[in-house]
Amino acid sequence: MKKVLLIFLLLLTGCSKQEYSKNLFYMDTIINIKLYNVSETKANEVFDYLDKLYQKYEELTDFYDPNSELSKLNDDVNYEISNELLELIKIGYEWDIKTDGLLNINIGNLTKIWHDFRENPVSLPNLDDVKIEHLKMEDDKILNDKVNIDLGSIVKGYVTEKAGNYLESVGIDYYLINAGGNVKAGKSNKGYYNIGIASPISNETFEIVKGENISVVTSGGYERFYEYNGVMYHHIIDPNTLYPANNMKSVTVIGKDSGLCDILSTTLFLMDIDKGKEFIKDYDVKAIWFTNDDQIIKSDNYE
Amino acid sequence: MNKNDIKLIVIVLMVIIILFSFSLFRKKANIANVYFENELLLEIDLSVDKTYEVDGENGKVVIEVLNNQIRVVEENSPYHLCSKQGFISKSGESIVCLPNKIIIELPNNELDTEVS
Repeated sequence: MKKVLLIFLLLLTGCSKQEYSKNLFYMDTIINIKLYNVSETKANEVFDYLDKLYQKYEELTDFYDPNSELSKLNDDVNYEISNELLELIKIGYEWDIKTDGLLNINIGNLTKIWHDFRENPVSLPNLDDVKIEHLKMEDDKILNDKVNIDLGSIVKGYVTEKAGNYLESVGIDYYLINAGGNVKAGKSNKGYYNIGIASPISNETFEIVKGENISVVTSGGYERFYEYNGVMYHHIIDPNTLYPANNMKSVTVIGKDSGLCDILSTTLFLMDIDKGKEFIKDYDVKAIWFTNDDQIIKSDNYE
Repeated sequence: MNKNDIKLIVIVLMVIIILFSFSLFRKKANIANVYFENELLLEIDLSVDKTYEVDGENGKVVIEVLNNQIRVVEENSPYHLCSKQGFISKSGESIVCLPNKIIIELPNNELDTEVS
């Protein structure tokens, strides 16, 4: 009897397992990493690695840093880039084709105009001279004479997926990464994580996703709108209208791969909701839309 | 089962009840945690109306507690996103002053994380 009680007591204290949390500041966002069931030494070692990983990709892809590899390529298309950057650009090229040009990473000239407008919103930008070109590639070679690549729509999800895969490769299966709207969750001690989706109008949670080994990515959230003359603008630009997309207030994609979810959430944000519902049927993901008139719409496979 | 066993059971039950009521109490606790990067600067009691000042990356960040709500009233940043956000009061909500690397979190036992 005593033994049983003793074991029970041990189990009770065992419930409060060690958790290590770390905030990183890269890619214009806060990246929170939580690790469970690990030793402090291991946690610190892993945090160091992930800090360097996010830093490396920021240095590779920062559109507004003239010294980033990406900026050097945007200055001179013949600049020799690393395989890491090439892989990201190839993913962008692939998705430009898959989305009929909707997810176009080669619109840095346009995203920069809107970025400058947000920095200094005096008058709406003149877009008459903006030309939209699509990336052309063949055998890992860029064929365009000049490129304007902005990887903002894909890099956070891509690196977060890499981060999760790294953790699993070193035996850490229990983790939770939140990279500013990009959540990648590993295994959970209680069998699932409660991942809240914030309303784009009130910042309150309007939906809770329960699950483990999943990614949840939102495009169009609460903090990424800005207002000019009473009109709300967003930082995701539609390459067809040249204006910030306004099909909805936000969309959240739930799936396995954080990189895919990030790409699909941006794509869905640029798509009419009905079209988006059809589009994602080719992928193993679910989606939830927050419409312009504050309705919540879920994909057909959402339960 | 002898008397000692019963005593032990009672003790264990009491421990469980105490731990359980602790977790209940924590859910309702009106506390905000303020961090600079990874360092916990303040644990703020939201039931006391008061103004706090902490040092962020770009200087002073002024935090105000009023009627069980908390907000940032002053900071130095290009867009002032975190002072424009206004009051938060529900557990799970947070304010992130990105250039200042100041994070205000209202702890939540129901949510593990949130996308916004």
